[in-house]
Amino acid sequence: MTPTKTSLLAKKTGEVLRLTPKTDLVASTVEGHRTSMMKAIESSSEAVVLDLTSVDQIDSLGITLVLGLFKSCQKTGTAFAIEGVKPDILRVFKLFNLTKFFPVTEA
Amino acid sequence: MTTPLRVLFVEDNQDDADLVLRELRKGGYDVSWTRVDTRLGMEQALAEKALDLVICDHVIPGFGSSGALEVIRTKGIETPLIIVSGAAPEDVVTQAMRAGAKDFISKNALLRLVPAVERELREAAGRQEKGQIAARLRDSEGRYETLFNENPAPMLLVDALTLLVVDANHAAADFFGHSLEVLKQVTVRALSLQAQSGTWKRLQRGEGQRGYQFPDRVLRRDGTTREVEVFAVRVNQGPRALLLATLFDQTERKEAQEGIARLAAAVEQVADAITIMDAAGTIEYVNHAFELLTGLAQTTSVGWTLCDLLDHEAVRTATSQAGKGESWEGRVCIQLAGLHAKEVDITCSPVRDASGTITNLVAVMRDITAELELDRQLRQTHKMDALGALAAGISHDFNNVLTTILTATELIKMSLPASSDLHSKVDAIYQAGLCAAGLTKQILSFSRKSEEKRMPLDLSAILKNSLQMLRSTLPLNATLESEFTSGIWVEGEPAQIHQVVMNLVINAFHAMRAKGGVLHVTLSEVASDGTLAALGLTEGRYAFLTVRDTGCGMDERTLERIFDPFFTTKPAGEGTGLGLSMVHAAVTKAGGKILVQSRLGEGTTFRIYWPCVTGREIPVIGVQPEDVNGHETILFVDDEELVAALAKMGLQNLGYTVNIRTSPGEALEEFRAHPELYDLVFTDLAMPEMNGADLAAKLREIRPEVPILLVSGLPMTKTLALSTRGRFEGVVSKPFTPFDLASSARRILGSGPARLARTREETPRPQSNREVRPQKGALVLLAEDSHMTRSMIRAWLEKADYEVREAQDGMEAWELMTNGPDRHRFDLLLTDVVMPRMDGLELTQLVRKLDPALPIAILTSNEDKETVKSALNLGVNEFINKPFKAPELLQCVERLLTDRAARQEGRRSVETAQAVRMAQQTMVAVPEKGLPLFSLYEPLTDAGGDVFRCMKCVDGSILFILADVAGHSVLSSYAVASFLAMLSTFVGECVSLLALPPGQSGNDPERSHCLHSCGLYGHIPCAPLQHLATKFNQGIQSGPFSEIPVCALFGLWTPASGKLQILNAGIPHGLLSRKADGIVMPIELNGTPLGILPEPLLEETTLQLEPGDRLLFGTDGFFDVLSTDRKPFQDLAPTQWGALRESPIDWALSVICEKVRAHGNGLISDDLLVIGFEQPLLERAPDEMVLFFPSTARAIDMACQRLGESIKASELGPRLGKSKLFDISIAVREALTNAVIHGNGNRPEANVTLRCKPEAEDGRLIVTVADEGPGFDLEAHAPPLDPLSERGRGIPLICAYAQDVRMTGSELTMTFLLEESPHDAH
Repeated sequence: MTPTKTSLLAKKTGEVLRLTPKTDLVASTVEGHRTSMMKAIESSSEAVVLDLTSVDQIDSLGITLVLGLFKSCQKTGTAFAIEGVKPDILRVFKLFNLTKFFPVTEA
Repeated sequence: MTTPLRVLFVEDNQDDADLVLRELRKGGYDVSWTRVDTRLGMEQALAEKALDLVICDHVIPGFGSSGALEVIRTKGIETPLIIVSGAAPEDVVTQAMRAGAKDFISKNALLRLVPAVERELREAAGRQEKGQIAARLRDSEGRYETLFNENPAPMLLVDALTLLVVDANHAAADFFGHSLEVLKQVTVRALSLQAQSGTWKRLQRGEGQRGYQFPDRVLRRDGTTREVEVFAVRVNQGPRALLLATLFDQTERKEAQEGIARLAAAVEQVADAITIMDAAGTIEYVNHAFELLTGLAQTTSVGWTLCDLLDHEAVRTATSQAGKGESWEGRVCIQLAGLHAKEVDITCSPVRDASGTITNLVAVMRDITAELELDRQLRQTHKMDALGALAAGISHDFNNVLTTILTATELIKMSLPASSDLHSKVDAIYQAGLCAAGLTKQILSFSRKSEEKRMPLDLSAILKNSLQMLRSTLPLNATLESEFTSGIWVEGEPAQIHQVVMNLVINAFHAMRAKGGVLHVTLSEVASDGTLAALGLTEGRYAFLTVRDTGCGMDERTLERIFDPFFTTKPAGEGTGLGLSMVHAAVTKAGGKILVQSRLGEGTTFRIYWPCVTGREIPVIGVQPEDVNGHETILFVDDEELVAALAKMGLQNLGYTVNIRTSPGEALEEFRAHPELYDLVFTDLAMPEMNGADLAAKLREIRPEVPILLVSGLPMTKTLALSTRGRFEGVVSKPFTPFDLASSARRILGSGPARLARTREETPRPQSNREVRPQKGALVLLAEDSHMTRSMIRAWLEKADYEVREAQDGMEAWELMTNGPDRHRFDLLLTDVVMPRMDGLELTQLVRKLDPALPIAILTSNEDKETVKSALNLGVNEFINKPFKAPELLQCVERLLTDRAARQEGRRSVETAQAVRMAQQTMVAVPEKGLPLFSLYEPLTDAGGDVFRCMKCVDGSILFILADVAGHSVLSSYAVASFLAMLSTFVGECVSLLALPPGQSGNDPERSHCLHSCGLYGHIPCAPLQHLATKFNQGIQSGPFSEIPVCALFGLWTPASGKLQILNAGIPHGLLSRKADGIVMPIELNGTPLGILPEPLLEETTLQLEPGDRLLFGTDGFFDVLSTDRKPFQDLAPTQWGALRESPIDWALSVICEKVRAHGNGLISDDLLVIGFEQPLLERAPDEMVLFFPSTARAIDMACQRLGESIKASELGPRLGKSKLFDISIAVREALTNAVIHGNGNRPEANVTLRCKPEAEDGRLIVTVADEGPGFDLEAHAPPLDPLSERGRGIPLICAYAQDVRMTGSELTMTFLLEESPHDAH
């Protein structure tokens, strides 16, 4: 599946890296986001915050991406949190019990 | 609190002044004052003290306010002056104000005084501050001017928006070579080669308030460029943003850095190992080559001395001498753990600083091991060449002597009565002669002057045989161990390879004779790698043979000479000294390598690398005539009378008439006198007067077509060189026997009279009005690597009157088909699957390109399903499973040949009829029973073998079957009838069951059973086509025509939805012409014909057809029609079908069939059956949305968007909340993603169908997603147990968000209810 060009804002403030995807986390964007996000977290930081303020849709591939990001952070001992989650997407996270593993803050 | 105020009164009246004073004090001022009433007094007062205010009466005798104002003005005093006076006309007031008075206050209105004073004092303070600022600014500007203009670094002041240079300093003008005026007219783009770079743009955008430092490259007026480091800072000048850029020229520094980097890279990458030490010899740096040479990592080496690492006396000397200031050069042999010993040239030198003090030592080491080995090989080559020249010199004469001995011996044997006791003695002479001939060959072999017949050989088999033979001669106290990899093929002369093995093994035996030991022989195949490349071996695969003994071993001197010819350590009479030299020559000539290691008393190991053969290196192996007798007349020319006489006697004994001549002149004369008498001429090459080549040329002047064979005792290369002037049909090498001569003669003159040869041209053609039978004497090509199986099959076939050509593998079979004497004549190919060099499948693939109609049967031995599938794909006609018996094989061969004969017969018989039919009418495709499906059928004979049936189910879907029954015999037609009956039963049953409404099967156990077996479970159809095909297969196998296989294609098409299920069992690939893009693509479904295997290989697929998509299916009679240049129609069919895109479907079918006939030049040799249909518009409810889209990620987004719009626009739209829409969207998105990725495997050409049907009354929305995959089991997709698993969650998401989910084949149907809260569902 050819990934669509995606946009990700990666901003580091102090030791906190904030990743803000500007498009939905769905099949057409996931691969692009995965590449950008993994590259962004290469530089060490104490915490990674995934800001989903601009995300309206997420699919199972998007969830897998979030999990992958979380696991990568776990490996390096980096704290991981999700912020700006819209209520509908929060339901999806709760459906798969993901809120137990990292803090998820609603928008 | 009072405010001090210093006031000067210009007033002639104290009372008036007091009045004012009182008013000021009332206003809170602590007034210190002076009163004057003259110009002089005023000037003095102003000069003496600082004042805050001047209050002046308007009229003072001799002075007045105008005089006071003049004093203030002329003195340049900033102190404000206020006039306090009696009432005055307005013009007077205006005039005073113009003259510089700050206010004019009437004595009657002194209330204004204090505010006026306050104002003036405030303004005066402001003026004073401004003055100070202006002074500071002037100061600052002065400093900036100096800093900017006098700065030695080039500086530019640039407009941030336009990058226009606003100002530049003198250094910039000098640096760029432009005047300041010019600089101020250009933009940075004219100066910087990287002005378009990100940093300048960031500066333009206003980013980086603290400025940027970045590298740039600038262009100067003289065209040169300079590397600079730019420090740019943003400065604001009013509303205008400017950039102040300071440039620092880095060119020289960069060049210097690059130079250092270059030097460092060179040192690091140079092939010689370099070590840099401090003056005391401690290593500070080693390069990569040093790591390779020593196997020691850089990090390991640093900190040690070279002597620590290499532990060699010479190295100690080298570093010590360099430490004393002298260079040292020498060669050492270093041996490091785990590495082979290496010969190394070392140079060690001191490095001095400017003062001459030694700061470092540098050691350069070069590995010359390979170079020395090359030198040694070169010396060996020269030695061998010299010996070879000597050997070649004597071999010619020696061969002549041997010819005489061998021929005479053979003649004696022929003339001896069978009972003679001289036979054994003559045999002994003959054998001795052969031995001598072998010896001559060996001499030529190691001297590389001989030309053996090289062929591919199974080295493992030779080695196995040799060891088997030698095992009995193994010394009693020795044991033999061996490890082989079988199937290693090399190229060589069989006897020579055999001798290589024998020589090495026998030598080992001899070495172990005294003490016994173990002989270990291994054979494996290795790929060339770095190690082999170092040995000078080219890339490729090598047979790796090792022969290791634990015998007496050799000392170094012996080791150096073991490959020298005639060098032997064995007692006289036990060895010729040629064994190992022959081994060496043979291996080297083959492009291999022989290595030997030995230690006295410990044993010897030979390692041989011999190149493995590849397909392209295999020469054609000629077929030796078995019977060499003949009756032709031969002229034999040789100046050696004895040789000529013996040749005559030998050939005459074999039935030939031979005239001999011992001089070329006489021979020419004889031939001129009787040119037509001779069928063949043999001539020696080296003769006095005229050599063989010249003689041949003269003979051809007399009779150009006469066959001439050359007889030569010279090595073949020399023979060929000398014979270029003549043209010869072949060469016979001396020494020869009469059999050799006769054999060569037969090869030229053709098979002898004793042979019952029958060419295909002589075979009578079958008559059209009789039963078609296979040709007896048909030519069968048999490819089989097992000699025993090959011989057995050959015997069976020959007994049944077939002619057989054997090939020991696919490569040889292909050579026989393309270059052999019987090329293009074979009637049948029988081939094994697994064979060396080229397997049966590869052979089939090649043969099919050469002759698509040649029957091919494969001899299988438990091949896997994939192999069988591949074979079917390649067009194999039959499979014969091993082990098989003669009747099975012969029946299969007869069946295939009968079919071939029938096709050829049929082709002729229908030719005329076809021509007439074509002239009169054109066949037209007809619709099937009112269905939108068209077929065109033209049987080859009355006993047609192709069948097409279709029927409509109650639900509107159409079930169709296309079948091709093998053969066109009467038997086949009975089989067709039988199969049709079977099909009717099975299909009827299936169709009626498919038509049942859901749930109706539950109460009737029998029907329920049928339903289940028919592929229905509950109301969900499972795999009806699979079931139908399996039942049909069972029916054929258990029926009366079980030996007749049927190729079949089953389809279930639902025009209402566009769904098409297809299952294939051996029918050629159908063609799908897409409406959307006009592309025609094959539907690649394979499968075995039914009736052959208990469980046939069947492939099934589902297509989602869009309106306008067209399908075409045909039997091989349609696709395999050959053009006159033997191209099958299959190659053209996609283009032709695509070109008919715009024609009505029935017309397109008729036209393409006419194209088939035209392609075959009117000659159709099989039933022609083709069907076609076009997907009509889909049925849909008024507000139902149907969307087709390709399998791409972007298409999913697009489909979701369309779905959202459609739902919002529907009646349900206003009733759906945002969250509900989200639920629908996430579930449908998952279903689409699943269809694209898993169902259609991300193939963009595969369609996904999305249907969305709002049912407003019931308050629900039904969404169906269908793909072209096999579907999946919903139950098997539970959410992962581990919440952190990265496993897919697609199906659980769908199930969570849709209120009902069902899977039917490849269709996923989701129902969303408006009323139910999705939260509850979760």
